[in-house]
Amino acid sequence: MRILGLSFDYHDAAAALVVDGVPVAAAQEERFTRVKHDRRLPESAARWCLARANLDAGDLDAIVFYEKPFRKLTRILAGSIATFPRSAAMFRRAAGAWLDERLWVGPRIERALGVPPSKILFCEHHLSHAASAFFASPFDEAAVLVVDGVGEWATASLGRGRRAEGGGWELSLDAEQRYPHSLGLLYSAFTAYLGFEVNEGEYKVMGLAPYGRPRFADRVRAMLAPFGDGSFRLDLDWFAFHRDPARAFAARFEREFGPARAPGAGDPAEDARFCDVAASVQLVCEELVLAMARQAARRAGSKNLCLAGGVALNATANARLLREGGFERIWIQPAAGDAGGALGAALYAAHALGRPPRWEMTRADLGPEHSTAEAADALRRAGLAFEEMRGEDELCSRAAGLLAEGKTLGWHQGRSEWGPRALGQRSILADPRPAEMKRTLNEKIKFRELFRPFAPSAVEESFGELFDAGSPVPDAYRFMLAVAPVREAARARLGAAAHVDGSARAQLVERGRLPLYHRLISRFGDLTGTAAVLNTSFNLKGEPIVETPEDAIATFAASGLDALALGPLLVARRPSGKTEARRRPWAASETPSDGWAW
Amino acid sequence: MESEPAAGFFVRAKEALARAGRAAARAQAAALLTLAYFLVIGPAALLARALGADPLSIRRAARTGWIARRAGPARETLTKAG
Ligand SMILES: [Fe+2]
Repeated sequence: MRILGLSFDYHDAAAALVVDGVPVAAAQEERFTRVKHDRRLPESAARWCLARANLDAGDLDAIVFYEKPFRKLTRILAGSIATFPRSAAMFRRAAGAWLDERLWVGPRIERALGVPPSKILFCEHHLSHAASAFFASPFDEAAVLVVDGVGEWATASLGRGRRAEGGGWELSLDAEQRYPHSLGLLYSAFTAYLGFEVNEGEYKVMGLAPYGRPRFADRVRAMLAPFGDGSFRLDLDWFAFHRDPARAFAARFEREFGPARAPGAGDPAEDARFCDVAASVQLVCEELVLAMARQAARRAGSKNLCLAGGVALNATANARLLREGGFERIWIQPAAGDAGGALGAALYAAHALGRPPRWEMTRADLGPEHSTAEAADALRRAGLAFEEMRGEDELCSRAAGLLAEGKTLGWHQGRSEWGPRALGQRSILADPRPAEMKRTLNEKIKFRELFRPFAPSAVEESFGELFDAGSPVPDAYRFMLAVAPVREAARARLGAAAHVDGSARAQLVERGRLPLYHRLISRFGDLTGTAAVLNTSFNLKGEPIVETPEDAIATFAASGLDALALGPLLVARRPSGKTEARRRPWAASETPSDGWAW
Repeated sequence: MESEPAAGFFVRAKEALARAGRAAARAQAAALLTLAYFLVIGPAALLARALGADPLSIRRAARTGWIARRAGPARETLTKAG
């Protein structure tokens, strides 16, 4: 059975193709269109998925949209009614968007892909998230927790997955908390207050938190009145997201916490007040995620947990879940945000309509790959001199040598990653030892806020020696979904990777799962005694991660990267005369994301 | 040679006209939606308040925020958009 899952219209549109229960292709639309967080109907991604499997749209058994549009509309209308007459602007914006496109999801898919309406299905938003975790996990039975901003009505859901009596597996969500009482929207309101872009800057709040003390935690707890079982009720006096299309928080925020930080204002890490606010909301977020997970476990009676939804990308909260949640094993979908809904919707339908075998997601590289011939062509067109390595051994030796000399390397290998993290297929790599490397990467390539550290990738043989990973089964570390404390003795060797609180969002690289990347890092370890590298996504600030060799070359040319590896082709130095980093305008990032609650 | 500025003028005029048209359409849509807000959402809101409805669970006292979900058969629930 061939099923295509689609998510679009809010942020991060994506397509995923599942054939007989196995995802064979999945990618976000932004990687093709080069528009960051592209939310349009993912035609390019969908067509690529079909081409990858040598299929036409007519060969599909079903196309599944990742939520129920009409149910979402009832929530928006109910919200407008409940906040009348203060929601006029919100209603205008929302109704406009709905009349323009959101009401016509089915017909738009029909038109774009040429399929009959009978083949178009709709999976609930949280069921899509839940399926993206459970049907990709190694578990026969597990508790399931979904936490995000909002889907149709649900903002958090508890459920379970298990072997069905008649064979196959079944997944159900048994309880939900509803809009507007949302942990994701609460976190986003603080993201906006701290001057970061909603749906994009949540990582920055998490990164800022360790610089502060959670001295406002009681005030944050008061604004959400927890019931003690993970559920809570937001005090809407603090918020505007439910009635105003342009504002997330109400005036009360500034009365209680002081003036909001202007977007683009100076280094927030130098203002203790902003750090303390970030630390406070992060702490409360962790407490709630823990309470929700315990509730999910209690109801399902399971020691395993599957986790998805945008809040599941909070690597610090996940670390506390691993340590304090009392679970034997936790599996988190790497594309935990709404892009991942495309994969979940397809997996859910595959298990609802048929009885495919279980599939475990052991690697994240479900995207496109590009041949050596393509890369060579692109390099020649760009006029870049390159050498072709004879095999992986030579490639890894040369690349590790460059890294050990302090060079920054663009590493473009195999199929691109599914989810927001670069995991060694579309990565920029560097030496993690000198603390200055953080500044070098920022000034030459990434141009991002200095208060955020870069993440390290370490091979399994030295992971435990470098990090205090704690958890017996480190699934979350494979996909960079949890932070871990850097061991005291390893601090000096990971000067650029450790955060101010001594933690790092480390990636575990196993020989059996990522052999090429494992070999590269091992070789770097042979040369330097530290089998870890800095790994940051291969893109410029505000741009999507590179997909094709052309994208990689353009980023190489526009940044201060020292070297580039496209498959076995190595550009070992920048051409003379092009050594200056040219900061590209990043237009796409400056458009505020739209419609985050409606 | 001489026709270029003139052609440019017509192109610019056409663009300006199209822009004005789009702006007018937007203004009209905004006016209609505002009208709908006060004529449809407004009475609905008054009615809802009169009936004591609380669609956002703002006032309702409760001991938990978890609401039980009923799930239909997986296959059938997939076919509905709402
Ligand atoms: Fe979501």
